[in-house]
Amino acid sequence: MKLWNALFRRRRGQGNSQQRKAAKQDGRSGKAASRESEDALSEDIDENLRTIVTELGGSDDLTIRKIGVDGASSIVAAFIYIDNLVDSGTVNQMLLHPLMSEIGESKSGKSPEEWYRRVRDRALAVGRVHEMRSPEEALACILEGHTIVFLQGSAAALAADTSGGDRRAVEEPGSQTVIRGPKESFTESIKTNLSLLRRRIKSPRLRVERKTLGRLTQTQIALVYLHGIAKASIVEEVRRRIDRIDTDSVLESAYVEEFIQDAPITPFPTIENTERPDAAAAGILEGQIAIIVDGTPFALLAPVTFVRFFQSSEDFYQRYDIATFLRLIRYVAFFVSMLLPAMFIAITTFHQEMLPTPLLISLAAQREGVPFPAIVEALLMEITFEVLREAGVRMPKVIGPAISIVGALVLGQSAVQAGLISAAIVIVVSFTAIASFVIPAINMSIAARLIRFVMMILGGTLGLFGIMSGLMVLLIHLASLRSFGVPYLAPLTPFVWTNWKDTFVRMPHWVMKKRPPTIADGSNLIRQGDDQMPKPPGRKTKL
Amino acid sequence: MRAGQRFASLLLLMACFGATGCWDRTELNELAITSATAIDWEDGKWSVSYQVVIPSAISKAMSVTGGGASKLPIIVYSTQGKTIREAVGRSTLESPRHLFFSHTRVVVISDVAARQGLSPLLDVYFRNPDSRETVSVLIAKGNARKILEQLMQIQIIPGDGIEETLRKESEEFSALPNIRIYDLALSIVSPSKSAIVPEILISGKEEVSSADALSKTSLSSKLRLGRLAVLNGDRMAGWMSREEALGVAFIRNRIKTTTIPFSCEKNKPKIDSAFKLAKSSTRLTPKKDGDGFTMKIEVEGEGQLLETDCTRDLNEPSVARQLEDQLEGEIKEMIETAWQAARKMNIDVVGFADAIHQKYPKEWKRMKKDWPASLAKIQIEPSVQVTIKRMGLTNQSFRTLTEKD
Repeated sequence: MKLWNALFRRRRGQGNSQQRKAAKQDGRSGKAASRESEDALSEDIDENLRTIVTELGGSDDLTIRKIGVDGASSIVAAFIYIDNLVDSGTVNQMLLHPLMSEIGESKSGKSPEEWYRRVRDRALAVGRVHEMRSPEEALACILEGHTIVFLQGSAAALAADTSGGDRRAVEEPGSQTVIRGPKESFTESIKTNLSLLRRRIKSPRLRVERKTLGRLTQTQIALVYLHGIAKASIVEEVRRRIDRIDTDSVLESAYVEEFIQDAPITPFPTIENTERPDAAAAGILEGQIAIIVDGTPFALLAPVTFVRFFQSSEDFYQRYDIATFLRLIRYVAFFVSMLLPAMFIAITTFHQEMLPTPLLISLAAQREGVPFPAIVEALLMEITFEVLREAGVRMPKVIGPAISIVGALVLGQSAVQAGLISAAIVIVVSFTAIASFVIPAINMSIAARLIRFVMMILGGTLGLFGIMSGLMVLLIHLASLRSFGVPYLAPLTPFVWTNWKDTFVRMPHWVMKKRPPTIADGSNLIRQGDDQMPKPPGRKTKL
Repeated sequence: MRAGQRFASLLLLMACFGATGCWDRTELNELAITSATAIDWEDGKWSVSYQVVIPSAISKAMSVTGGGASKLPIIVYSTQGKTIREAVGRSTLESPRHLFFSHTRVVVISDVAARQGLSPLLDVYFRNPDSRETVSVLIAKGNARKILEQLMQIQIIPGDGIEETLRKESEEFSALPNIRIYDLALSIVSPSKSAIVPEILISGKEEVSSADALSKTSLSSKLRLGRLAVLNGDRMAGWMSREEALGVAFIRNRIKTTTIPFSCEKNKPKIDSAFKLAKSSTRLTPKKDGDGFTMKIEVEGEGQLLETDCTRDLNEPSVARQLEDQLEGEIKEMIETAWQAARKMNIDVVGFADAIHQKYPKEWKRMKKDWPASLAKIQIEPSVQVTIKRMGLTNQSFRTLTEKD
């Protein structure tokens, strides 16, 4: 336990800049500081092994393999790793096999130092090998899936990166599907995810900064950005906010998101998440910083503006005119999802004169004999729908159809036939529900869902006046939000003309010559050359 | 602000919704949607009648499975009072629902009430937000309530149907204008101080006010638009026939489309052709003529030939010119008739006062005092220019073909 405590203390004390610099050079923040630690490895294999086994409480998934020349008395090397964290093929072929042949060839008559150097330089056939001198370093490496090689007579151990084990393959995204576009999705492995990004942006400017978060989970996270395109100040801010996180566990990127977002008290997301590598790459190319967290396929993208949540990656893969149309529909759907039930309640209970006469008569006929006031009716139906939706998400897939039958037939049709609710409210609630699914970002659609209830109460008590005041408060709130210093409502306010080409409309790629100056570094904005519009040879057009 | 204060202020805000909210909330099934109102004057009291829509009956009548119009779509009832709004207020004594006037399409005024003066009614409409100024005004001879009780065949809601009929008429025949409350108010306060309102009447004997009477292909009586009521100031003064009304519409530039019957040859008494005037505009130009005024009435119009029984060759430009002359004569005559009628009543229905006021404001100030009297002294100079744009698909009349052999 002493070692673990030391580890915790070290993470807390990371404000020290010297330590951080050292950590950066090493590439892993945890280990560098321990050089100064008093604990050191012993020259005796058995003692080292005992330290580790004790520290892990004799866990049964710890595997120890000792190699000797002849008999137990002359153990010269030992491997230690956790069973299912390593790729056993790699361990067998790349470590065990070369080391054993090395022993056979050249063990005799060498000093421990010589032997150690030879093993380090020649016998371990894996890419990443670290040297380590303290048991706590070794322990951290073991837990990350490395294999530690102890050699008799040397107080240093070698850690070979053999991490492997069962992982999900790259599959189609489950929540952000497209018709046209890449069908790959991030997986739970940070390595796979980084490789997916690297494969999309083959630039030397793509920078990856690794960090470890979570005192107990020791979760790997990585900041990915394009040097010179992402604003340096924002990169520094992201770094600063991540470094001040002190938590015992990070199981999903949402943990990080909640610790680093600008406005903790708002229904609106100020950090984007995506499971699409192409969306993440597009964000990075516009100057966003991706935060990839090991163990989840959802990467974070920051900074982000309100309008970003209405862009789907498919907008850029479809023709621009169609993409524009779809994008406008999404904005409409957002307002429908937020306001339609509230407007319905307000108009039918306060402002009946606004309705065309035939519609009013038809609605009035439906309300004949309905026992509840419109606001109660609408709230009942909305809550019923939320219950249905939640049930649909949590339920085993096999029972799915049953819920739709119960929901659609029993609750919808029968309730209307029984005269408990009016048919109009069922139509309104269904349309609202469908509209809320149009918004590509689920966290934005949840925001609209929450606001909908507030608006319904406002509309039911104060009519359109209430809705207007609600919208005004909402607008003020939105204008006050920032995402890593970037105004949330940019480019609407502050007004940035360049961004308008990709806000409500999606202009063709050859028109969007510049990166969004709200997010990207102002000194490097040009995305593509002049005069890229396709045209017949010999004709000059300028746009 | 401390967290506690913040929470308290939020709580106060929420209390506001609970305490003050909902005060004018009305559910749809608490409304009596009024599709038409009628104003009568009986025994020194206003009697206001309401044609209230019964939504459930209407949606049944509209849907296929509803089993037809077994229930009547409307109910009519009246309340009396010394003022109009007092009468409306008394409706709470007999109506389970709140009378809702925003969707009222027509207001029918009995001629007796109209002769009492319409100022109180106009005031009610301009003062209250729930009664709209876009309601069409009609005048009925005798009891106005009877008009509301009459059912219509195609339109389920009679109030709606009356307004639709009036609108179609003013667009396609233009003799009777669709006068809305604000039109009425504007023309009453205009220099001419007069207004025109179309008449509605029940033609036929028995009233159609029950579902049984409605279940025939031919109704024993129906609602029809009739003459034109003329108002002097806010009081009704008399009637004009439909022909005179058309002439007035020409002078007042209110013609949208109309059909004019005429005979294709001069001095031939038989009317054998019809013309659709699709476009028409009138310019009134007052001319000072010594002491009095001469009013130039220039009408310009164009349209197409609808029918003719004439044996002449319509390809000939001279024939076309002659047809146009005939039409122009016809319109001139209408204008003359209307003018004579207006002069006889001594009411400026044709709106000459407005034209003089605009052109000669100084003279108008002087004339204003004895205006209706000096109206009779005005001479009119009508000039009409009609163009026949199209003769239709055949250039000869069918009679030419039958008479050839």
